[in-house]
Amino acid sequence: MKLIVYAGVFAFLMATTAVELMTIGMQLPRNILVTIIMSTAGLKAVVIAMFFQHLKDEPKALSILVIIPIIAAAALIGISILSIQPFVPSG
Amino acid sequence: MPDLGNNILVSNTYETFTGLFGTFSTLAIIVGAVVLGLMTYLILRYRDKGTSTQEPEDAPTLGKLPAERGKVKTIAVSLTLSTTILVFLVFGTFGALDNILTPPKDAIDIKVTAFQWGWKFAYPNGYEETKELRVPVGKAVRLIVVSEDVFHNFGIYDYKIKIDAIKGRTNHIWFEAKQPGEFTIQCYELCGIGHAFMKAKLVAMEPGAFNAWYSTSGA
Amino acid sequence: MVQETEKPSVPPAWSIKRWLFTTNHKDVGILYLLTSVFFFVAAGWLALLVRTQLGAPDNAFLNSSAYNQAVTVHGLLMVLWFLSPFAIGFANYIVPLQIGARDLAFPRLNALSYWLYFFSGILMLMSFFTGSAPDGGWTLYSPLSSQRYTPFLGLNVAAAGIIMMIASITVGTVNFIVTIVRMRAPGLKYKHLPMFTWAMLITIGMMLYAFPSLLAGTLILFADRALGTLYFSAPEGGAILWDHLFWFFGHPEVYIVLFPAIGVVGDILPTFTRRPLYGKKYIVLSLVAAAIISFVVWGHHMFITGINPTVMKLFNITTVAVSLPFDVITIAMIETLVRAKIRLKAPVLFAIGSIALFVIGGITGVFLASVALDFQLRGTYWVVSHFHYVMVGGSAMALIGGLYYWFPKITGRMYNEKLAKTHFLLSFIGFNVLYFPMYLLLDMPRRIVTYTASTGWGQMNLLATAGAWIFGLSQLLMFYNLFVSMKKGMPAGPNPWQASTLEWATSSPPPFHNFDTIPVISEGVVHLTNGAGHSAALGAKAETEHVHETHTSTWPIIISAAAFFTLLGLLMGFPVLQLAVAFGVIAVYGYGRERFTVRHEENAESWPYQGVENVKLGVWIFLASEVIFFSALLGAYIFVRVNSATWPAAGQILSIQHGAVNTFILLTSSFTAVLALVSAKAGSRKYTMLSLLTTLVLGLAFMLNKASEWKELIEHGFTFNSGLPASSYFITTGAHGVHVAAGLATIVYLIIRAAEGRYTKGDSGTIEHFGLYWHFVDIVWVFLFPLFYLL
Repeated sequence: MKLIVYAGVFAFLMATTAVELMTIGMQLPRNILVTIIMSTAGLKAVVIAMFFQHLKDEPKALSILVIIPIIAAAALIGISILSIQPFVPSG
Repeated sequence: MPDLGNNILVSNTYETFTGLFGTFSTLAIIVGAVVLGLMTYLILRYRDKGTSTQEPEDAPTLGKLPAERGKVKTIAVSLTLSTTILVFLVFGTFGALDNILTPPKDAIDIKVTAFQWGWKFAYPNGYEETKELRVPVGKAVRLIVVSEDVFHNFGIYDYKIKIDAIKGRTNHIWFEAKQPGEFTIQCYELCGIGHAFMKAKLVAMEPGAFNAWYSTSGA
Repeated sequence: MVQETEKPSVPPAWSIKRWLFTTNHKDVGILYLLTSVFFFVAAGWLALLVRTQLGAPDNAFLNSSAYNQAVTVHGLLMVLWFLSPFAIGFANYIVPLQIGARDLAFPRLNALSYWLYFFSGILMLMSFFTGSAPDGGWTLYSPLSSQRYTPFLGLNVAAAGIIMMIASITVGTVNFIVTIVRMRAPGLKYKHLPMFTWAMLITIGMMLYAFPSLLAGTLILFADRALGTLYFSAPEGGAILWDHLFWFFGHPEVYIVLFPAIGVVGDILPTFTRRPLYGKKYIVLSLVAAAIISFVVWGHHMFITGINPTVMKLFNITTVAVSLPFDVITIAMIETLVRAKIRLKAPVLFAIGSIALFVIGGITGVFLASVALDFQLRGTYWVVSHFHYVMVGGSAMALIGGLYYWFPKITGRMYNEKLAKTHFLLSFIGFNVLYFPMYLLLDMPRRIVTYTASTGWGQMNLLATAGAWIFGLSQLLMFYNLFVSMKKGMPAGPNPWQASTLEWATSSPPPFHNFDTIPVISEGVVHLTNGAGHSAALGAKAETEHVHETHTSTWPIIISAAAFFTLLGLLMGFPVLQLAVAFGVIAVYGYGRERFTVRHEENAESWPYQGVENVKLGVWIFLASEVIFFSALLGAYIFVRVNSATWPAAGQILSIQHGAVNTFILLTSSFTAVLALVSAKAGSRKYTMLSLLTTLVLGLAFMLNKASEWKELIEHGFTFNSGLPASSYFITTGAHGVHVAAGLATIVYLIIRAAEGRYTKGDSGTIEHFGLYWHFVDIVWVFLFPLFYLL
């Protein structure tokens, strides 16, 4: 891959980090803030994986190898959060 | 059949459990008998009796990949049968679950606190004790179960009911005693060296006797 | 036992050196089998103590403490140190043979895997001599397992043992997946793989994704106990958090110990019934389906912890659903018997016996899937009986069948059939006398040291105890039989069972290099040039030149010993820890520099990873396990945070500035790591070195900034044990920091090698592999930063 592409990716990562830092100063409602910040982080992760780890040039099977645990981990985290709220039975 | 006690209806939970357990057991025994019977039959029928040297046509041979075998139909029939049985059992389960999770509105609330190694029972009138849990026959009791230290499990085995007692969580379970008598409360989660001895007595009393006791105890 | 052939460089079988330094898959397989059998005997002995104690009411043979230790260590050893490693022993020996490979992809990693396992077992056993062995049940439920309620060093030592065990497993999973996926003989497609190899591939896949969750849980437990963090002792984390982390691993683990057994049965059945396995395709599909579903059933272990009814019902349905694939597997296996010609030898007796016991274990498991019945059955002997029918009946019995089946291959000699059949009969009867009465004890709590006579449980317990002794003693017959037959048995020949899979196509025992020429499969025919029953019509390309493969390495055992002392050092402190770490670094460096030749077959089947060479695939597999590990750590953090009533706001304690600076540093270091690869590919040594050096400096800057941040925080009273915000911060960023440190050590190695002129002559692979790891560590930080500093 061309050096210029890597430099572009690097610039993008720095810029999105700056965006994250600016967002927290903006007094946004909590839900929106969490959504924005975590989606930005997710985007950065995907970009690093695609370009720096050059998954976009590899067989799909390699990406699947790491997508499976992401799904499994999402189940683990999601369901464990769901289980926090205790259930109070009443008539 | 597993021993389900003396077959006297001691509580509503006993009734719920034995009903469902009976359904499960009946189906389990039928399915188990059919499968194991079939296996035994096939082994006896097709064992090598040494009467002929003839091998089956598709017998495994070194240097040859084994032939593909097996019909989707057989698999599908077996899957359909077991799915039907399982769906039936899931519906039975969910019906019983609603019953287990829904106490009547007028239930008496008793707080149960588990600790290493014993139980503390606190009644609405402020009365507390650790040796016995007294409840009236014919009235629903809702237990509010917490733990002071480690993970315990509150269980009354004659009533076929239990619930985890976990620090930081408040759990609930309810039952209605149907017969007066004394039963054992025991811990069902390993909680240290006193685990086996973490017991208390459940005393189901006639409503009159219970009321007399309750009004004189406590605050 | 393994033939010495043309390799004078390999020490002979009677030399101790051979067994300490071997990397050959067959040797390592034998080591695994022998070590796991040792743990089987140890754990079995503990079980007999437990059963003897329970044989009569009000018995005082063991006191509570001894009983709890016996029960706990019995479970841990059987599940983690016997069942899985026993299966891995077979996999080591048999899988490369079945796929027509010369060894595993990474023979030295395989030896490393074994020695980590070996030393982890020593740690586990050491726990008996350090106050008290673990005594809270093999599930190590918190908060009983916290320092306050279990104040013995023994549990720390055992936790260290579990951590080391998981390291061994992780190394092994990488190795086996790469081997099975990329080293199959030409023409050997997935659909041709024997059942055992298939089952192992799926098992290893589950291991890859399940064990990291236990690793995260055990590391947190270890930190809680050794450093004073509060995850499991605080009610906001506590029992429920441990339950999730443990059972997310724990339920797949049940299938991890079961599937190899299904594979063994799947290979034994066709051989002895003389019919191909019925519906093999559907069996494989079912295994895959069960493996996937097994990751979303763990909540059934938590039915009555007070989780909400929707979650209960969801898990009830998934748990019921997971029984369907097993229905298919059982039916297919039974269907195989139709119109067969069953030769009732010991291996098939064990195989069929295990199917029968698994059917009983499976059906009684459906009871436990029912959330309503669980309100009674939870924590009782019904559960004990159910999982012993599955794990001992379904799994161990089949694996013992496998031992008889492959014994002639491994030793070249036959065992005594009559003794083996007697062994089967006694153990089958003993098993049922032992476990069936437990179904009738569905009121009796698990893990109680004793019970009163008034419960009426005495008779069934006495019966179970009698069965335990029959079952236990019957194993002696096997040991005697195999021990004597190893020397005195009839010579077996290459294929005593007229089996069809490739391990039988070479001599017994096979030569070091397995096959003189690699088999080639085309149009349903296997072309071999050695061994029995061959057809050399097409023949593989004859390999005239002998590549001198290496079969020994001194480093795996040394690295494992260093890891052992490092873990002990964490508990003993200076100077053990520092010395062990230094020792470990030297050992890893030596490992890295060692010349080790592995022969790679150019035309091996490698779908779907053509073009992804072995090491790169290995790195990715490792990273996949790391995804689960860090997700579990982050999940634990999110869990305690959501569960806590208050939490410090962003910027209140952790300095956003510190975090932001480190983010910029780490992102830049990822970029320079990319530059190193680009320069290496372009052949520029100067720029490769420069980029690597910059990456090193940036990494060091990250660590220094982190260290100053930690120091400041700790000085301001934000310490490991000052609350959950601090505990979660230190554990998570600490785990990340250790990863950064490992990366830095690797960079130093790369710089030394680059200075020697490596990497710039079309051999830039190592820099690429390092980069993959380094970027992953960067990605982890990309999530840590906002989660800890910004939100």
